[in-house]
Amino acid sequence: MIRLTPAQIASLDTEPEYRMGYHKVHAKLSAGRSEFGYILNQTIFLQERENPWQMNYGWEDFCGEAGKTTISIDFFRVIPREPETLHGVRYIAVSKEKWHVFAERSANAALNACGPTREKLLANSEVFAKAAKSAEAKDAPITVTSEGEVFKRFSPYPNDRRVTAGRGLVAGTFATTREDADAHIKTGVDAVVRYALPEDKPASNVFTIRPAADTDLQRGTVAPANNQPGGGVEVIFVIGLPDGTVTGPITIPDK
Amino acid sequence: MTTIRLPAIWIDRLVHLPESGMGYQRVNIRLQRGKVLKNVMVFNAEECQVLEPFEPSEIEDVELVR
Repeated sequence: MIRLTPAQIASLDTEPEYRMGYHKVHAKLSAGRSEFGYILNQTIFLQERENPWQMNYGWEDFCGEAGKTTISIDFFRVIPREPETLHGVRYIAVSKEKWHVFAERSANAALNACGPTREKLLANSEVFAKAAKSAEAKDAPITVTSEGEVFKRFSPYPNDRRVTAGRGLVAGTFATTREDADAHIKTGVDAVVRYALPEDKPASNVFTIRPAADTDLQRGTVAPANNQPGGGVEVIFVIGLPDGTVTGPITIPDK
Repeated sequence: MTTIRLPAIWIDRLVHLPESGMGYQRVNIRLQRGKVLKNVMVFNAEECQVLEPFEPSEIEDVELVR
């Protein structure tokens, strides 16, 4: 652990955090080597292997330990947060952190390897990086709706069977946010493309969903599938919705 | 591709299983003669598209692909 200089601390004022409360950096140490690591609270540098969440340390302990070292940081480069974590999918990013760590660890190890070992480490890194980028709702942790949040569901079928007789939803039903729908969907074909639907038929029937606040759901991004690019926001109503929460459908043009 | 409408018993079963995406489920269909049709898309819990047609009454089980 290394304490930053006042100038280094000040330089982080304008740098975005990697996650709440810490920056991720690549630092050149006065001892001559370079290390990946984290800067907690803009003040204390930890090497990557010194995972703070595995330590039973308080803030004073961090400061005390950092004061014992004679090594300082010559300079550091802040590693930006992944773009996919910056658009309201915070929970997914956290759940994928393990794969980011594995990918980066394999890539770093490959730098010091050669021959077949290097090739294998690079291949592993790619596999982990791919897993880290998966942001589908089905892989996301369960979160809750906000007060007044509205969702839309697109279907080729006006008699959508996921909508119950009492105008609720059965468990495990997909939808999207009103914001995503309003911004991107003007026709039934638009919905097929953005939500990667396997149907040939345009999803031109639009249901509006108004759940109560704190309803369980998973949020994510539609992965490319069914020869469609996806990319829309998808949510899953994990335990369904009670009667009276769904209206529609209204019909939008097919094309 | 042939579109086959599922019998009511399977519609009722699928409606109570989670979706694989908006409006569809990916399932394995086991037929009475032992054949299993894998990764079949079912739309609105009622219509499936298959390469090899079969009689709906032949269905012995439908299981969601996780």
